[in-house]
Amino acid sequence: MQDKIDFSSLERITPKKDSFAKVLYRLDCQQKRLISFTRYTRIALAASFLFIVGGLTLPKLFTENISPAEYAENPFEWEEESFVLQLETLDSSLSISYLLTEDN
Amino acid sequence: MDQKWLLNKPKQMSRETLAALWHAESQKLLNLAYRMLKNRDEAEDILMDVFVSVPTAIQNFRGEAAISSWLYRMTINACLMKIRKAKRHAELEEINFDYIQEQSIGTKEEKEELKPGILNDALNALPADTRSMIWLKDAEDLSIEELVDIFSMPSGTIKARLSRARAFIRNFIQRSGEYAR
Repeated sequence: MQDKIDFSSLERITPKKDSFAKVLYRLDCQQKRLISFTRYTRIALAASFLFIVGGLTLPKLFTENISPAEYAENPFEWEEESFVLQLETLDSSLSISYLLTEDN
Repeated sequence: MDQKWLLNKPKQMSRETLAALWHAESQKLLNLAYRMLKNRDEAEDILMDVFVSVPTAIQNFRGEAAISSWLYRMTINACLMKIRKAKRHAELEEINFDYIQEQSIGTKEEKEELKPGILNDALNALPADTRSMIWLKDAEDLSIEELVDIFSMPSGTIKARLSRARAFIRNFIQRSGEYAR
């Protein structure tokens, strides 16, 4: 173009020698941060999964399903067990303490 | 620069590819940033920021424009963002500075004038985006088509802006010459 301005007299600068090394260093740091983030995210996800699975399966392991035939064989054993388990609840302890005060 | 190999596997941008890009484009990008920001250290920072973002930003590069145009656009955007931030900061600084100056030395203190090259002054007097446009056209010899890609503007608008910028620079130099006489 004819009316172009001639900027050739203006100073031209070049990048500093260590600039590209700094770029690579910053990229390395970014990558490390990303790796640690994904690692911790995976750990957190695995822990949540185990927690949920545990929450679903553990109660089933500790709760015994009694068949009607088993109950008919020895009803007292199951009643006793059931009563002992109920003692741990607040209602049962309140009723026991009430009974104890009645006795006194 | 051949960009086909960049587009084939953009997710696996290697250090060698980045280094090749650096060698091909860094100086031009640095000078563009330097012209826009008028500060060497800030221009270096922008250049590094641009190259740090290249491996992730390349995922969105569709190859419609040249890779150099894409890098110019990234640099211009980064510079404009920095200028906007600095403007806000400068406005606050100016208010504080005026207040301090009035308190310490009075308001009639004359400013010391620095006189670098007139051409440099003329260029610096232009708005940053116009400055980058005329620099890329007249100093880096980019075509109007490339400028259309970089600035996302119609070629007519670019030509008009360039024409006005050139007239402004010539006028500025002429006026400076008259003052010098």
